[in-house]
Amino acid sequence: MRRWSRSRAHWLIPYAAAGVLSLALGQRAGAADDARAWLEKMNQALATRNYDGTFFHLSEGRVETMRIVHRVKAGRVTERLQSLDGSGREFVRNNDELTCFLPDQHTVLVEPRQDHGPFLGSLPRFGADVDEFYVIESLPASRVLGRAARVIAVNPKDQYRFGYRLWLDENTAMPLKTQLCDAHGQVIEQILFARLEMPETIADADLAPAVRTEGMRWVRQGPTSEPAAAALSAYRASELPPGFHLTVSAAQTLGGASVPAEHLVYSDGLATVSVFVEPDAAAQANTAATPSAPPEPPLEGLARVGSGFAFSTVVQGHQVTAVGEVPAQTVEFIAHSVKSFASPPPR
Amino acid sequence: MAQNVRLATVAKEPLSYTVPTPAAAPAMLAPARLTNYVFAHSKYSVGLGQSNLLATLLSGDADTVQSAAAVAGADGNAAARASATTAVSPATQTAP
Repeated sequence: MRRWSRSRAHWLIPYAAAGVLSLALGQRAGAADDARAWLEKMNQALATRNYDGTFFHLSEGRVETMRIVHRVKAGRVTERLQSLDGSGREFVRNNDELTCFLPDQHTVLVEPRQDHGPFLGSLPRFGADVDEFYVIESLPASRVLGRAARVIAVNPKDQYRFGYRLWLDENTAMPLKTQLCDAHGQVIEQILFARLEMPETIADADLAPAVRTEGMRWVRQGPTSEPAAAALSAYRASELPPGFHLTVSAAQTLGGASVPAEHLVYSDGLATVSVFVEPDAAAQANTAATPSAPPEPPLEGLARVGSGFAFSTVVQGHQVTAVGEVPAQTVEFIAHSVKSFASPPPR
Repeated sequence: MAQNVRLATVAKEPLSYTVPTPAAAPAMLAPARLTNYVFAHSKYSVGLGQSNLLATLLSGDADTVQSAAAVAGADGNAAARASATTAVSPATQTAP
């Protein structure tokens, strides 16, 4: 009898294990769904609520204090992001136009930004395409700024992209703390609120730039109706890291240049990389607004841009630059694969 | 006598001297140029990447931080390109 029981117990082990596994997987799926729901709440809060906060931006051992003011009034969104330290730079978004005040460069950049998300950055809806390259999960609850917080992690499955950790206020779903992490979970950059208020109303004065613009050069840049030269629009990346695909290709005026560049955007659904293909220096010099200005020499190499990277190279005499909040190898990979295609270019 | 001492001192110094050019020193990426790329890219970046990018732009880090991208000489000489490669290395090593 005892032997029969033991034998029967052996039969049951796989079923029990399967049951436990199924339960565990079910709980994990439930946790992921819960995490997704919290990210949706965060997106909603970031886009629709009024808020005024001060946060620290920590990157590469440096700390910068910034203020964010976001107002939604009669369906119109106005935002102001201001550096409270050093540079004195400010960004102001007035519904569909972004103005970037750069007092240290004596420049003001203006660019149309229709249908653009809030400065603090909402996350896209997690579909199957994103799930293929990221794992989303809920981590144990924590506290930030004295408030109970949900902790959500979005982990990359490979080394071509970064992941996130977010601490969301239990009451408002606002991100009180966010971290950008590499594929090993190491923190690269973080944003940590020191103060966050969500007032019913925000005065116009809180959204007005403090920068004095006398003597500054105003530059309008952005997409242009004038197409890029055919030679530029024939350029595409011939190879891409897994999951990345072309989402945008448009002519783009860069910093008041007289000749538009071709702007290609590659995305995996969460991370994005821009590729700019510009005419060669001689062509730019011929069409320059100020003919006396010497043509800029071609760029080659890697530059760190906060947590992301920019990589420049020259392809068949054209300047190719890839920029993105991705690891260095991703911008290098994409920039090196750019080449001119005979029509039609691949999408 | 005094004149002899002065002549001796002068004789020890080389006749001419040229301050060497630091051939390996890479030119920095033009600040405004990098800012323009990052600003244009920020339109399409999403999520926390965008907020981090804007914070980087705001702090001016895009202008100066590890601007290892070197400018190869306009004549495209090999030495300039070699120095550019050298300059790129540290940033590559610190890449996460």
